[in-house]
Amino acid sequence: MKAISSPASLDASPAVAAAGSTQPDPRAAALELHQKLSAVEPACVLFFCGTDYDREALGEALTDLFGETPVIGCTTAGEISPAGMASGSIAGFSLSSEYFVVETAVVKNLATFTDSDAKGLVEGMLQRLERRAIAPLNHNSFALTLLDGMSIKEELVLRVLNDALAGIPLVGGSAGDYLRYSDTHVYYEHHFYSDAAVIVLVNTPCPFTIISGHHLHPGPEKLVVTRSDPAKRVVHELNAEPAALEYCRLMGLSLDALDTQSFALHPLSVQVGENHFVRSIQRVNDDLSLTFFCAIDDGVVLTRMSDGGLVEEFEQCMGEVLEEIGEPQIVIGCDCIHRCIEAESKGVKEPLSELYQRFRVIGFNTYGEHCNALHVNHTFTGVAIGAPYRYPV
Amino acid sequence: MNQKAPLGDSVEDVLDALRYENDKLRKINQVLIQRVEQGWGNQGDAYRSFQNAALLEDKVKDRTIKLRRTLYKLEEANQTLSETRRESAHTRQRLYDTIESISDAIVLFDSERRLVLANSQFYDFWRGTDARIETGVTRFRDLAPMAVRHGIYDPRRKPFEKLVQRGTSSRDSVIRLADGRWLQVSERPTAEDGLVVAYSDITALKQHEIARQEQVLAEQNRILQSMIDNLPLGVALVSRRGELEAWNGRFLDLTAADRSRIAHGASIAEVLADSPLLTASVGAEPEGSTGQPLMIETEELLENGRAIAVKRHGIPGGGYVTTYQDITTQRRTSEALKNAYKHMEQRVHERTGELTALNHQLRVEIEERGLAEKNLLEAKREAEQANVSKTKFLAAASHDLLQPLNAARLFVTALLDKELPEQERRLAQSLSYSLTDVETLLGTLVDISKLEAGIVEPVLDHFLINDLLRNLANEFEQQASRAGLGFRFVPCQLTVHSDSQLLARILRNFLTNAIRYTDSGRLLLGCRRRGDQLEIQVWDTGVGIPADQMQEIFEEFKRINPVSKREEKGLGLGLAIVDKLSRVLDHEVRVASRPGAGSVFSVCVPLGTSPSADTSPASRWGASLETPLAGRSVLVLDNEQAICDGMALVLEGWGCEVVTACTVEDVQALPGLADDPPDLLILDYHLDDGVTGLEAEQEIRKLLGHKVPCLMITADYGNALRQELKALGFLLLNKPIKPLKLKSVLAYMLKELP
Repeated sequence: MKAISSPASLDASPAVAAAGSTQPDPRAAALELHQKLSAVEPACVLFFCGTDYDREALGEALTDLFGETPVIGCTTAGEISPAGMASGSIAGFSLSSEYFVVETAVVKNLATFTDSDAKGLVEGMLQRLERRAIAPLNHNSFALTLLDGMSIKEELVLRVLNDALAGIPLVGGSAGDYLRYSDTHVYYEHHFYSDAAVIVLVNTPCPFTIISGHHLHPGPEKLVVTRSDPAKRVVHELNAEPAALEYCRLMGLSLDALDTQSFALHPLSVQVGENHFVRSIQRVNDDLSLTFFCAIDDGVVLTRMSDGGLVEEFEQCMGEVLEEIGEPQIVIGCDCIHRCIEAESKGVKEPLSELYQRFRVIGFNTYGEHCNALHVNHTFTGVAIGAPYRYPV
Repeated sequence: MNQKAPLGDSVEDVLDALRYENDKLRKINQVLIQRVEQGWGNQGDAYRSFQNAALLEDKVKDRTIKLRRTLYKLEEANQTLSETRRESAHTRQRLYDTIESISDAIVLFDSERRLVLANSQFYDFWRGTDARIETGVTRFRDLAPMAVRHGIYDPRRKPFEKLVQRGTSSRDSVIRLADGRWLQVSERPTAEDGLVVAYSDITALKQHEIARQEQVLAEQNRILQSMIDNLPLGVALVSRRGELEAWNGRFLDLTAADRSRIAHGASIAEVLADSPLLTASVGAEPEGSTGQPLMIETEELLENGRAIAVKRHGIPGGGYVTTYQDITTQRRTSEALKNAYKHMEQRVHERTGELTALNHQLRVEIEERGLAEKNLLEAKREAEQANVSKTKFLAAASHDLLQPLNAARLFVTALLDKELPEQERRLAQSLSYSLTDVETLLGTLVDISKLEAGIVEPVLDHFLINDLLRNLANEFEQQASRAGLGFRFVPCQLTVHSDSQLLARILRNFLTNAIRYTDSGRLLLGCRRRGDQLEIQVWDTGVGIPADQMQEIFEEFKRINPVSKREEKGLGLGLAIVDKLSRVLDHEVRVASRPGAGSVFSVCVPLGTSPSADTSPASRWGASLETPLAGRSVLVLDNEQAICDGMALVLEGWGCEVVTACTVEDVQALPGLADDPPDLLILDYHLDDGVTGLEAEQEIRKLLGHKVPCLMITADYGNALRQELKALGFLLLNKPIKPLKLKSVLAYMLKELP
């Protein structure tokens, strides 16, 4: 893909506009966002907002301002705006209609979403997209997903979507609510929804690349899930002991001190093939069971993970991105909330935030990241879009 | 995993713990077995779904990356290709648009000269004919025959063709169409061996060209007629048949032609029938025997006194041009000139006579002047001789006059050094004073003469003024106190650029005068810096100088208020010398005075940079006065025996061992000189037979085998000699020798000895 990384010609008009607002008033925040995102003629607008906003007022303001332009978004556990990592703000970006063609859809009832539903939905979207495509469909398109993070349906929804997408890459994140675990929403066509997913198909001649990775290394210690409730992502027993106690013993923590920060700093993973996938713990329950952010089941072997340098790993990852597509115009980032907590605990949030600014990351802190059919935790997942390649005239 | 087991020593406790552990392991075992057995079955299971996805993802990732890479390349190539295609189509369209937008007809042929592309302007030629022009079929060479066939080319007239060959295959031609249009045809090869033919309609250009030519002709005609009309001559152009073809007004005036008959083509004979010029104007054609046109010239004197010159020129091809010129004025002028010439000859003759007389006078004058010049040259030579004589006299005076005086002086000094009875001592003392006075007077006179003659040249040097002033202060402090006057000296640390000896003489004169003209009070010697100059001042509280005499005092033999009570015999030459010295040194001398209150005399000296390496002789000698001379051996060489004797007496008086000689040969004859060499040499520079002190010194050095410190004595004040000796490292004293000075110089020299 190196050939594509030739520098964009300097006179290329911007393909993307990005913005952020810290205005607490939803209308004022929407106005600021609209003003900055109108730098390009938008094909669609994506935004990520804190849960403190009055959702109804925000939805109305966005509808008033953007009119018929597709606007989609979700609530967050933290925002990544042009000013870096933030909380209680709104961040967003618009994709220029000159370089992007999009198809959007919402899935309102995730609980009953089936294989055939997905097939019908995605095929329809692809057909419409193909008619308007400005670049070969299969290789110049990607899908963005925003899911209600409390739906507990991510794995299944992602699998059926991925099957239907037939090779078109998918990235996305699960909406958050500042660790309240009760108020996560996605926004589609003037309204916020719970238990819903938004799907955006994007077709573009701009080079892009999918990023998904974490910075952790596996340790020798293992835990076996001996009793669980997969439907609720609750683990009752690890190594036939109450899950929380066994976790505390392995990590050397006290039960009383167990909180989100502990989970962020002491992650567990499952190994599939050569790869380790972090399974983040959401909370400890009164019966000493642990609720996870993602799928879990009996007989799953968990591995204790140790730190590998969060900031360095991200910088290296972006180095590869530069190699591949050149200087990105935007990196749409789904950044796990546990990474944010970890960075803050270790005092590296500032440099991480600066890196996000440097590489123009716009996105939010998630309750889970989506990469193709995978629902993962503790990763930075996203798509980096390079400058439009201009053929010399 | 056994932390949960209760701790205890009893077998029961251990057993319980092991049982608990066993239960746990069983359970773990069971879930793992279940997990393995279930395999990949249930797709609805969320975790299983995740696991499948993860496994697939891993496999797919590699292939996807490779595929993506290939596809990117493919796409890039594809884009470039479509870009190129679009470009190509654009280019063709642009080409067509371009040739279409040109007003000329353009046709492109390929390398086979078959038609490739033509614009509508080209097809317009063939409109209305059934000619078939087809792309890829019609050839270039078919076009001309087709054009003739279809009547496009003028069938009656052969198409006018003007070929302009340019290079091998480019050519331009012009053709005429049947409809009267003119076309320029330009053929140019293309890069691919094809041909481009452009047909430009140049009809308008052609017509314009013709119109322009006609206009030029008309204009030329008009200019010609205007020129003829405005000629001061009468002109008539007559054809071979004797008909008038062109004429001007002047012709009519001069010939008095019959104006009623004048017309284009009228017979010249008829027109001039009544004219007195008829004969001159009409006649056989002026033609020479060789057939070449000739010119016939006649002059007619008319009854009214006017003269007309008539000239007839034959024209090649027949006919002639006649010109008529009124030459009445020229004739009169010519007469006048003839008269004037006669008169002029007379004038020239008279003038020549006058000039001859004047010339003679001048010759006489030149002779007189030559004589005067000769006299002047004579006078000049005499003056030069006189000057040389004066210089010679001065040299003689300084040497011959001072020599005996010098000797006398040395004798007196020697005498005074002896033990004498009181009366004789007083006599000797008086004698010494008298000699000093004579010496001073003589010296002063000689000095003035030398200064006037320009013999004295300053030896400029950088030195500390204080060295000079301190010596002067020492010298005059005693004199002042003897005269009952106070003396104060203000030291100064500046360096000046001057001749220390000449400057000292100026200051000595100031100081001497100050003592002489001050009855009571005190003197002050000091300096003042004035810009880049140092003003050295001598203040006194003396009688002062009246303002009207300020200038006079610098003239020779001028004295103000002669003071008879003093012993010193001032001649009034001191300030005259100062005046001359200051001119030699180019130092300004100032004087200010209040009669009865006192005067200040000063001299302004330029400031110097840094003192020269060797400090002034005065300071060196001053510092070495104490060196004992006793026991030192001195060889004195002087051609005057009297000087030798005097010198010997003086030196012996100081305890020196003295050997004298008058010539170098005398020295060589001295017994045992080489064994007991002298410590010092005192040599007169001017010895007999033209031998110099330098040569003598070399001989003595040869004799002794080594160099001995040497003091040269001379009455020659010239700068050149002084410089030469200085360069050779010899010390020099001028005659007359002052014993005190001699003593200090010798002491200085001896101090240098081991």
